[in-house]
Amino acid sequence: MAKIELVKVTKRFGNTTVLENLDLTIEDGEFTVLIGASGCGKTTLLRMIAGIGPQTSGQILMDGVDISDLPPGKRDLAMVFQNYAIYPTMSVRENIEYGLKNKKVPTAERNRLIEEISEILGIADYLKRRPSQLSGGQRQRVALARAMVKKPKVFLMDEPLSNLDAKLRAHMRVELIELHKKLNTTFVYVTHDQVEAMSMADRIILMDKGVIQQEDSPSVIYNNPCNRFTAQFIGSPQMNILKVPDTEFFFGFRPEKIELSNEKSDKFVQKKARIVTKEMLGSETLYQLYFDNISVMAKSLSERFSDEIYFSLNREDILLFDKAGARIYNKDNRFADTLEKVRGF
Amino acid sequence: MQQKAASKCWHTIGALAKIAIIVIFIFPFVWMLSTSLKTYKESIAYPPSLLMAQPQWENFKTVWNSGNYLMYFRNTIVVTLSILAIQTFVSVPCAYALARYEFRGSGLCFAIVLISFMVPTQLTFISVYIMFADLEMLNTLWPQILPFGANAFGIFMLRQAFKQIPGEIVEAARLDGGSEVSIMLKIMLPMVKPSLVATTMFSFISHWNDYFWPFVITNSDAIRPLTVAIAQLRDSENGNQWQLVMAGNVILVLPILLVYIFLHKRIISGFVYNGIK
Repeated sequence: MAKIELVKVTKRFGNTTVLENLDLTIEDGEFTVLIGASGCGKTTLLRMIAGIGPQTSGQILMDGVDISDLPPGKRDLAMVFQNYAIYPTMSVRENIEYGLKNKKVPTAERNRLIEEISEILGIADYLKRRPSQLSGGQRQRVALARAMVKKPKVFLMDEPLSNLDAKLRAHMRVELIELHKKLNTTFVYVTHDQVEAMSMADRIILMDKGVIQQEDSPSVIYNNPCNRFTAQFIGSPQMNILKVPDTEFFFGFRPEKIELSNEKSDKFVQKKARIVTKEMLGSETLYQLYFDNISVMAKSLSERFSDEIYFSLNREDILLFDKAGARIYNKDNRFADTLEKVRGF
Repeated sequence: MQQKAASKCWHTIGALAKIAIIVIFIFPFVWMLSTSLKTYKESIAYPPSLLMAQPQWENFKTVWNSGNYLMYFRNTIVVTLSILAIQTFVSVPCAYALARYEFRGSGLCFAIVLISFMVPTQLTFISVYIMFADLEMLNTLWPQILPFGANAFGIFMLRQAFKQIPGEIVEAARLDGGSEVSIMLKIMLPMVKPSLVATTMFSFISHWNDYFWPFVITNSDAIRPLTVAIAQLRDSENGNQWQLVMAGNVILVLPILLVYIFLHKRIISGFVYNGIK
């Protein structure tokens, strides 16, 4: 267990600055997910913590101790890579054992640890096999076992589930959540998949172009985004954002907050629209609505609507953003006026 | 229908071409073997024939007894194995460094390796000869070994092989606390084994068969390798005893054939990209 702090870290590749003066604290025992589009710097951040892609300047502290100059093997952390990075010429057992041997753990203790970990991860029967004889899911477990067996203070994971098929991914997600509960260790997990981020994280750190956009719990990130980027990045389909008439502001609402009905209602916002497309997803249906040259997405549990329908929104489901994309909260004096204009739109 | 006929035609042409190539490569071997089992008369008969009336196995005995062949064999083995050992010791770390480390001048180092690969060895013979003469080493096996300590082709092949390994494997090993030497020897080297075996095999064949340099550099029988001794069979006083020369050549290539038979799969796979997931 360990707390990690990044203090004013900068990372440059030649003339390109990926991260600049970034400050970040990852709390002890927390499951932190770094999310963002590709190229946003999330993997760079993870590699800096691991020590395999050192920062250009700044400090990295673990439990208050500066580890910036420590080699990766001495940092007491373990990493699971996207393509597992299992040693292909070693058996599963040798793969798990390599780190322990380097740590000079005595043989008896090594065997005990390998047995314990392989039992937990269900790979005890494959210990003699070569990685090429394993399925994707089994390789993933070997990579996890290799990380776990060292009993590190911090687990770093770089999109570890992205090479698995959808079903196995869902399964491994649950296993990772359970694992985190069992080990109670700090997890830092990089992904671009918002479902993974939302379902696993204690705290999500959303990044864009090397800058942290918001760090909060999944529910706060989803329900209370602090800017337009966050609002649109998290959620599928993404949040509808429209211009507030006669202002330079924007308002947004989630597709599932739209209420569809065949008759008029008396909600805060009320519009008549035409259904352009309809996607049945099983438990819910996605609609693309069209009105006044504007198109919005709506999500509904019902699929019995005529082509011309009414859609309505509650006052509290509407979020406001300024020109630069920052959120306008209700304590802001521009809030009430702008919201009134939304009603009239 | 027409397409089928055309594909059949190409298939036949392909098969014939393969047979032709096989014959071109196999025939000298068959000719060597058959001549080695002929009598002197049969070996110089015109028109020549592939078959002999009675295999003359004693040709091999004659060759073996015509000089101290055990000593020549020993010299060839000592020289070849020493070269291979030194080359491996030098090439592996050199190729690994060129493939995996970024350091000032690494490009230049690699360019030097490539250039040395292109310089014909004949150009350096005289200066190397003078150097060993100055060092008074001409009567030892060292002049046959040391000039070949670094194998540019081997370094090039191994560098390419090391480069193909995903960087994450090295990073994972570093996170596992492995030292750079342990990562190179325990993780990376086993992954480039096919390339290592292939380059070693090539080097083995070329140094086992090496004739000109040992011929130039050796003054006494005690340090001569098999190739030079066999060439001397041809220059003996009784004219060209081709059946004996060929018997000597069979003795020379037999170890190479045996090694190839045992290792051919590895040698071939050394030239095929084997992706590592």
